[in-house]
Amino acid sequence: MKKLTNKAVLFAILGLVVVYGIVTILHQNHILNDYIMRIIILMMINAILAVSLNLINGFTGLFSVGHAGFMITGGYVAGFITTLVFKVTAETPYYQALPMFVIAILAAGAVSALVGFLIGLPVLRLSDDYLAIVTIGFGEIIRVIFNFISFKVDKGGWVQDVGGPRGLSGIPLLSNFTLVMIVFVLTIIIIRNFIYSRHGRACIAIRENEVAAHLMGINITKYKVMAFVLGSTFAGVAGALLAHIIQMLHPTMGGFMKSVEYLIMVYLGGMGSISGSVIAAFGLTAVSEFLRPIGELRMVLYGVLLIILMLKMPAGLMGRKEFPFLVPLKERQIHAKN
Amino acid sequence: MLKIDHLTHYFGGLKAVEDFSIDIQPRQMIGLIGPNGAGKTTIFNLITGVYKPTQGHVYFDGEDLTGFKPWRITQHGIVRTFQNIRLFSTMSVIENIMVAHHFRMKAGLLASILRLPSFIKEERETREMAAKLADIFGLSDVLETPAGSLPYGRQRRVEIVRALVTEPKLLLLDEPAAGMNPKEALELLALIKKIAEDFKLTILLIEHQMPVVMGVAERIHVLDFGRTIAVGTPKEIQNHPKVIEAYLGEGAKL
Amino acid sequence: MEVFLSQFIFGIQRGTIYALIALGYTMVYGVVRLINFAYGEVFMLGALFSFFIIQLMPLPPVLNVIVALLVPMALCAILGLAMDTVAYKPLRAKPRLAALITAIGVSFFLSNLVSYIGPDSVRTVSVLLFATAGLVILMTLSQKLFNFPKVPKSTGINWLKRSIMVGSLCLLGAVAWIAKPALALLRWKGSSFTAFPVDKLFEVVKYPIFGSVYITNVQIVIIIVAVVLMVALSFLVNRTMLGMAMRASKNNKEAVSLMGINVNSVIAFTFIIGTALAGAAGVLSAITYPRITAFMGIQPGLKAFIAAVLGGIGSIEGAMVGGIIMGLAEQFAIGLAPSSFGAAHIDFTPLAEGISFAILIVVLLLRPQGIFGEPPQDKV
Repeated sequence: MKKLTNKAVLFAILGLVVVYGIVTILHQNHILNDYIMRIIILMMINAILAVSLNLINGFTGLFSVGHAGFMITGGYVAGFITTLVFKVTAETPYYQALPMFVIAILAAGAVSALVGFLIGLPVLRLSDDYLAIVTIGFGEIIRVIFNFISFKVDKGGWVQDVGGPRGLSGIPLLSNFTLVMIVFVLTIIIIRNFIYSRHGRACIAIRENEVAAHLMGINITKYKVMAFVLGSTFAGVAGALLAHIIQMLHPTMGGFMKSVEYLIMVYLGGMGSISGSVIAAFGLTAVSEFLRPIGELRMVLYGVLLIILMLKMPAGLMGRKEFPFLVPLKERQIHAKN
Repeated sequence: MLKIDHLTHYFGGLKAVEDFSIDIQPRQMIGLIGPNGAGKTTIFNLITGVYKPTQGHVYFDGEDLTGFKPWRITQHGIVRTFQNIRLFSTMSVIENIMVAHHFRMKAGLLASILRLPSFIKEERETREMAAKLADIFGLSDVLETPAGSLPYGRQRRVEIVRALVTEPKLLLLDEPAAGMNPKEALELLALIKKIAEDFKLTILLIEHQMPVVMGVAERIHVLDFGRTIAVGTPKEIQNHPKVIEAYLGEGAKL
Repeated sequence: MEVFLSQFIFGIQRGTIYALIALGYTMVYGVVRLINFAYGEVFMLGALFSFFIIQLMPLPPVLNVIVALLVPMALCAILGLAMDTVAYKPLRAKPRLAALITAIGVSFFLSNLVSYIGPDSVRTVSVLLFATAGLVILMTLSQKLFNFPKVPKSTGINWLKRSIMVGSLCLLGAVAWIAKPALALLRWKGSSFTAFPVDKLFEVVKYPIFGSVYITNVQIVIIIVAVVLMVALSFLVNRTMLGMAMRASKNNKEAVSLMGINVNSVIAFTFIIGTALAGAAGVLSAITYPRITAFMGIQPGLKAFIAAVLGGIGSIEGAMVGGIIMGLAEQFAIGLAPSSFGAAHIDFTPLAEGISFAILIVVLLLRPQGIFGEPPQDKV
């Protein structure tokens, strides 16, 4: 049998290392300023959100409109942990803050996963319309809840309100390029490997024909919940990263409007394509920074974009195609032989 | 092996199946025939758990499966094909087949995400097995083709292969030869019969083309308006007055 | 008792507004199985149109009320028709999800557009519209001259369609250009909220009914208008040919089209009626809670949808009953939640806002088909 190595994967790893090296060097030499670094980091965080939403909407065929709700849940959890539990401040040395931040990220993922499970289990038995409406409702509940949760913190003599309607501010800046890139690459790898396993195949089968998947022995509720929970987990992780780069959170950030932005990324890239989601998330994040001068008009154009996409380009940019390095080959060698 | 006791099912006020009983022994091949709307597919839906019966019970290997979810019934060893083909149409043929092997595979979530050697080995073996089975049904040239783009007859074959990889004990075939001419139909049925012997399968078959089912089934149940009107060997059925009456309206040649 | 009674009156008032929007959801869902998320935005536009009309027209109060209700209803109906034609009709044969996503797009577009348009920005929109028209002309010319972007020879250019497109873009652009001084005159500020001039319509009169409980003339008008609209709707659906066609389309669209009825126009009428009702709800709501913002429709839209689900989506009686129940439940939750609890003085009123979503979850768990709905039957 001919040994088949996936050259694309090698190239991708090489490419990642080179990109990482160049960006780091350029940043250290102040050719890329902090503002641009921040955009690059936001691009990767949005890509995590888009890819994880694609797992739910594109690959499993569920229709969740509440991704921002999971994101903000993770953001708040991580923000509360770093600011209130560990009391990390701008003065804390990074090597001390990092392990605390990692714990916060993991906790954010876990809480979002739990919330996803609690919402998914009852609702995923029903048809897709209901999921859409419940997830929108969930975004609103999250807003209500984070409006409600507030703490009084004694800051050496004066009492400060934290949380509640005015949001959570003063979150330390802990998400840096290296860390976000590691999480981003891990997310892509995990979701890719999930999709190209028996579990991912089960999810895609549910999207293609729910009744047939059911009758081929697949526990459809279990796999819908699994995809939903996995997607929510990554949304929570992304939220934790986001909170520690924009340094403030507001209850409304988990609402319908924000969720629609992630939906647009998924549909622009192509439902059922990891590559597409990454491209669209990178592109839209960069473009919307570029469009900052036109302000709110950006949102109007997003609405138009979504309508035009559905009417004229339902497959998105990539359809269901993937970059070669996102398709594992090792187990397919018997095929190459034929 | 499969024992159905006085199965009755209503759709609203309409009696789709009334007092249906059957007892199938291992390795038998039983035919289920009847005019359109006689309730044949409804019986399949009741056996596989798509519908819950209004009355009656379904026993399989001595266990009462009535009211089980479809996926659990499949995991117990009963699998079906569909009259109106239900493939995973944008997935490739080989993936369609591999999906059905899902619950026989063991790789856990963590093993899959880490791509442990055990996971790769299992994936490879499943793929190999699927390819081999596809080859028996003459599908080896289209393994990577999206299943939905195949011609009708080949899609039916994919459905049968997909059902077989769940490693069933009882195979329910819903008009597997629909849309084929009698010659093709007989060829397919001969193949199914051979497979049934190789895999030690029991088969319950719905078929519209009388000569096809006459040639392969050892016993035939005839339904009309949800009621069983005749049971017997193909010979007995051919001459049964009630069967002739039920089919005359359709002009089927017996 | 007095608290209960006054909360009850407010609850009914709130409920009739939900019921009116819910009717739109449920009627369209019944016929095309589409959740038109944009009803919340139609609701907002109804209030907005009404605001403009009141600012523009110095009519005597009674007449003003009627005009300020009927004209926005008509405008919203036109908008509903446009929505259906542009965004939903082309997707009828596509998977249901596509139309659902488009509906979200429409909702997103409308609310953000209204938020954006103000005296300072309206000319930017105008320029954008003219630029789009120019782009269409350019593309058409390049298609004609160089066959780029490539189109198959058989599909020629539909000149009529293109002309209409360019024409309407230019018209809208011109309107937007002229609108600048008008908007300034009308004191519409765009993104921030605008007060609805209730005083130009009513002089609020309170009628005592029981102890300190009173009912206002505004509340009476709202409840009467809502009841009249619902009775009219029931008559339309149950007693007219159009209504019969609607009910038939719910069951079997093929059969209806075989009867020689144009199903697409039945659907269009359903949209028209639904959006007119949502527009009316917007006006009634603005009279009660006199602040208009571009995003005011999202919450009532969602809650009305929950009301439709509660009543049984697809069922007209269900939407009415569900709306009233939702209104009452919410009013009681908000009115009775403790605003100061325990030693820490925790305010529970923000949580009362979430009652509707709690209702949704409970309904979906216990009876997903709603009060009047029938359990779904899937076919194999």
